Amino acid sequence: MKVYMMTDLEGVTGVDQAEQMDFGNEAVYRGSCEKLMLDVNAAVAGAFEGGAEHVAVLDGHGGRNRYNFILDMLDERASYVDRSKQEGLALDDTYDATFAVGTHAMAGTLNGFLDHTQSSTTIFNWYLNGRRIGELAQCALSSAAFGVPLVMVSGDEAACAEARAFFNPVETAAVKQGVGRNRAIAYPADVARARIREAARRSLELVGTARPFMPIMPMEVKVEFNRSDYCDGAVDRPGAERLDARTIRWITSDPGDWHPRRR
Amino acid sequence: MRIYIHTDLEGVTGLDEEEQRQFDKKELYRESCEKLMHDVNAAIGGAFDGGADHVIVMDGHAGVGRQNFILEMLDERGEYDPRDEERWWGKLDESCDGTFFVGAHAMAGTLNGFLDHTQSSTSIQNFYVNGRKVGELALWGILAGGYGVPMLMVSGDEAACAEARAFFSPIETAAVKQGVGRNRAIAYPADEAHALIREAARRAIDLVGKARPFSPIEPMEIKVEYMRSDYCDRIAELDGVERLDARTVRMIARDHTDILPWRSRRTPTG
Repeated sequence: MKVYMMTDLEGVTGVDQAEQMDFGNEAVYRGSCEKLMLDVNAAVAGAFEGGAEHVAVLDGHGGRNRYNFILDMLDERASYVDRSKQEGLALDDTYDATFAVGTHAMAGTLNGFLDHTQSSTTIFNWYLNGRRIGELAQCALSSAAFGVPLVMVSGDEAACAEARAFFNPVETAAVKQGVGRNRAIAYPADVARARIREAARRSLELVGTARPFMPIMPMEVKVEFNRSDYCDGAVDRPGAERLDARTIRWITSDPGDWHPRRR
Repeated sequence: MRIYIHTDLEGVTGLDEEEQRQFDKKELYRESCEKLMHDVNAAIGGAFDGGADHVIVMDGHAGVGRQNFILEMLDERGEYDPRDEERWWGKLDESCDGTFFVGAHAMAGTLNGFLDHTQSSTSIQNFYVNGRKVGELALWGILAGGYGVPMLMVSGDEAACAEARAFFSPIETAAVKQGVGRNRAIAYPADEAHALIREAARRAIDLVGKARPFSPIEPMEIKVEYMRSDYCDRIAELDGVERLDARTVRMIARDHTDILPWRSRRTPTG
């Protein structure tokens, strides 16, 4: 059994202040990355307990040129996906399940810690076939492109609630409760990581039952930007239609094609 | 005949690059303010040509604390109105016969609207009154309309003028440039643009008695959609403000001056 693990930073155990995401503050940011590794390792351990034989982990936060992983902390059983060495996600149809660890809720979620969809400064809403989606659904789409279901999500309560609203069945591990956007009440780290490990283990029982997240095709993707100039760069996408100053849409039959720049 | 002129900076003749409204670019900003004064004076000139005998002007860009006007450049027939925080619409009241809006920009979300935004280009996504998306033109129109004062004349880019015509009828407009995307515009020759402003202002005086005040049905529902959930946390706590979702607040305006919740509302405890 092969598991592919996507990761983000906002929904990591113990990251409970917006300032902890500040890349410019080296010591603080390093602390957040260490916390990330502990969550990743909890999920890796749970996956192996659940029967996985191969667990690939992707350092997903902050785009492909940002490194958050502290590799010498990574559980040595895991296979690190080095994005500097290949195009795309290195995900394929040999995988049986996808996890999303450290996630946050979509833009516009009340008490979602650091809620946003791809960008907290430029994107207002993202729609799939008319339904507002966040990064969880996007992870699931990228995974569905290879026929792989998303079976496990960790993050704040809002991210877990969103996961359950999109995927069924799915195992979730909530590690904190957002208080407004910029603060959260973190659950005790040992409790939170035990939850991640347990959710990861149990989620592999869903393999065979859980279906890939596959909308009706062709699918309509619509992105609503915060400002008209932010949309200017996206309209160059072949096939994109500008609906108004701040909105573009396109039609595609590839579930992985949810981003203006295919990635 | 008393005319009250509200001003903004984005829609001024010759401002065709985003940088020109950056306050910290001192010399460039000063030039933008000089351009503002030329537009203001053109409007004052036109108002007097049309038969106004009293013209009051307010420096409206970027909040009450910001001075953009270069007062020694102001046509001495214009009365400068130093508004204050409590009354950000200055001395506009029932005694005025009409209002102009000089240097206007289009509402947030306008394609090829030069520097399109509504109140804030970093925090507000959409602003609605009675369900209709509005910009700063309509908000000023409502404020004046509550005093029975009609909007008579608007100058700005083509998008602002089109917006003015979609909200106010009859209205005189003077387009001084065409937006190209959000951050650039093609400016029309300054002398032509100033002549357009002067002429629109002159003709606007003829609309007194014909143009109706802009007054949506009361009580007015104000709905503000913010770009991010944290941007409306404070507003959501204000007296009589209801949070509809993470990023949206709504309130019922007490009157036409109660349209910007962050200005007119207090926290329940004071």
